[in-house]
Amino acid sequence: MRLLVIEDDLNLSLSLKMDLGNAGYVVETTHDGELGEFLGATEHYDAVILDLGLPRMSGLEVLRQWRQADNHTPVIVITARDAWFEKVDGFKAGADDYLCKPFHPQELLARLQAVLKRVHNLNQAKLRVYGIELDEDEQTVTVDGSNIQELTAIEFRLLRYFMLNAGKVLSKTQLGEHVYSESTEPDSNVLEVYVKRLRKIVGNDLIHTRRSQGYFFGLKS
Amino acid sequence: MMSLRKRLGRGLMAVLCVIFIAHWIAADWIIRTAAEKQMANRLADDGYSLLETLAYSDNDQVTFNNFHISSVYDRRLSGHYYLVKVDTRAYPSPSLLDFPLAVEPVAPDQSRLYHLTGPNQSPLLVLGLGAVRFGHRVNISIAEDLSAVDHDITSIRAAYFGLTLLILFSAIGLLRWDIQRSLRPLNAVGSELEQVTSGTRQKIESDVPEEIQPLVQEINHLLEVLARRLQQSRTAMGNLAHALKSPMTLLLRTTEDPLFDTRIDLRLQVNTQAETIQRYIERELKRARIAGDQQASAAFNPRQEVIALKKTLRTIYADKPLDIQVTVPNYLIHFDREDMMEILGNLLDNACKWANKRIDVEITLSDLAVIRVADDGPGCLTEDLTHLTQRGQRLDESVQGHGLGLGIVLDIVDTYHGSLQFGRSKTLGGFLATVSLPIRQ
Repeated sequence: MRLLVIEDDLNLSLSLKMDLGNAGYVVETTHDGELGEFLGATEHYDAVILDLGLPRMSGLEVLRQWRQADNHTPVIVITARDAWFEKVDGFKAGADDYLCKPFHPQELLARLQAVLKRVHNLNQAKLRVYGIELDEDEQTVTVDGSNIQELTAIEFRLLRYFMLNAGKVLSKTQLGEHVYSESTEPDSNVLEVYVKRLRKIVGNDLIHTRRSQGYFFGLKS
Repeated sequence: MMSLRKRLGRGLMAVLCVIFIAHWIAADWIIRTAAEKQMANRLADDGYSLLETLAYSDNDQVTFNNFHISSVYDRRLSGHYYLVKVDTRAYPSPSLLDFPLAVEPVAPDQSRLYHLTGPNQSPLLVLGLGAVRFGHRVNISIAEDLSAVDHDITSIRAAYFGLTLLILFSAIGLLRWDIQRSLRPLNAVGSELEQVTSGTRQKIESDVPEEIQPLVQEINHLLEVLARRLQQSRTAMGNLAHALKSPMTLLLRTTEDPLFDTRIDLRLQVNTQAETIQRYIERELKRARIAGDQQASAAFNPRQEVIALKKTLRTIYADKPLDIQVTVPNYLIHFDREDMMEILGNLLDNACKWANKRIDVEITLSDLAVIRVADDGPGCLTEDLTHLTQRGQRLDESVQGHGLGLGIVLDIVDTYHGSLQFGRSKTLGGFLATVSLPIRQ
């Protein structure tokens, strides 16, 4: 396994190289953002350890440029910046994990292993049934490749439950669990209202009412 | 200290009262004097008419007759009297009915106006004329009862008094209204200052009168200085904390050295202390980073940010199948993005730690921004809940797990004068954190 460590603190960089080397990785280091970006873009690495505060080009910029160029090498960001907005910005830029300084070397090794494992069996965040595509991260739905529609939390939960249980008859009690939120009171009408809304979104042919049993999601046989 | 409005009001009212009383007294004196002056003219007419009828008779006597003056002097106690004195002899008018009128002697070619008490205690205005005719000293006193005039004057006086009072009260009313109107800018400044205190405003901007302009400028200047100092100390704190982090990482790494294998107690001690230092740095750094104001903040879309946060958390907790549901308005709001993200990040991170599977995030915006984060984890016992919200509690040390995160949320919420409540989620059954923050519309 070949790793690239981009870290401007020479002491830290050296000690990382030693630790990762001891763990059996082949480690290359650089202290400069621009050079790091170049190396990451031209050489093949299994993973990159990237500091954010770098001379000449910030770590986030390096990451953004790689991702724009469709370079999906796993990147673990190590940084002293640990505010949530910074973490989110890091992930938005395409980081695979985010480790805040100071950290134990073992923690870095553990995260590295987790990231490498994750990359090999990609976490599928999209659900597809009967031409309906549900994006679990964005909470959106696409029906037959048409426009992306946003869903509320309840609509999303209900639709996902339907999709995961396609072809089964679902009772109102089973479905009811998915339609209550912190600010709404449980109400028997609420479920019907949401089912009606979902029919509007996915079309009338997919959600069927089974009298005195509940609802059924799927194509009528 | 007395309010400015009361102070001005009372002063002006007192001044107005004094002026109006003085004015009324002066007017009263003028009315009375004018009335008496007119009466005196009439008396003088009659007096000079009498004086002209003086004649010298053969037996060295001075006589007069009253044909030329009104017959009212002949009617008994008519209120019109005269008394002619020639040397020591007195000739009273028939109307006097022998009432001894105590007239004052007047020098020749002079006249004199004075008051006397006449028959039936009636007040009299008397005009005395002095003359020397045919070698005799003549004193003519003409008197008129003032009762009727007094009566008229009293009613005029009362009417005028009423009018004066009316003017006085309307003047007071108008002044009051004017004072209130003039002090309105002060109230505006006051409410802006309140907003400054509550963090929804950075400086006083309303148009103020010249007199308080320097005061407002000074306050604005102080606010600026304060903001700059705060910024400086935050930057210094942030720099220090960041600078400490790389050495801290190296320190932690040093404890991994095989030399420590024989002294595990030492390794443990160094580790514990390093972690304590790290926790302090963390807490102070986060505290220093709280912006706490909405004025300067750029607008951001909360839904996009929460979705990004959700992805981040799903990556961080990749080994846990989490179902995070987001109900957040999809439009731009004005709030400090970093503070909002810190609140949401910490609450959600906490929820991810404890949830079995499901987490609900909800943001509603009205007068308040209300953030609710619920999970289906074990929740928190009631006694621990009260413990969590206690001010000044060292949350980071006292409650394991609900650690640093909730402490920093509490700090941010405090800065915004908001509230943070913990409870049990009705729908998911686990922990529910509710944050309410006042927002600028």
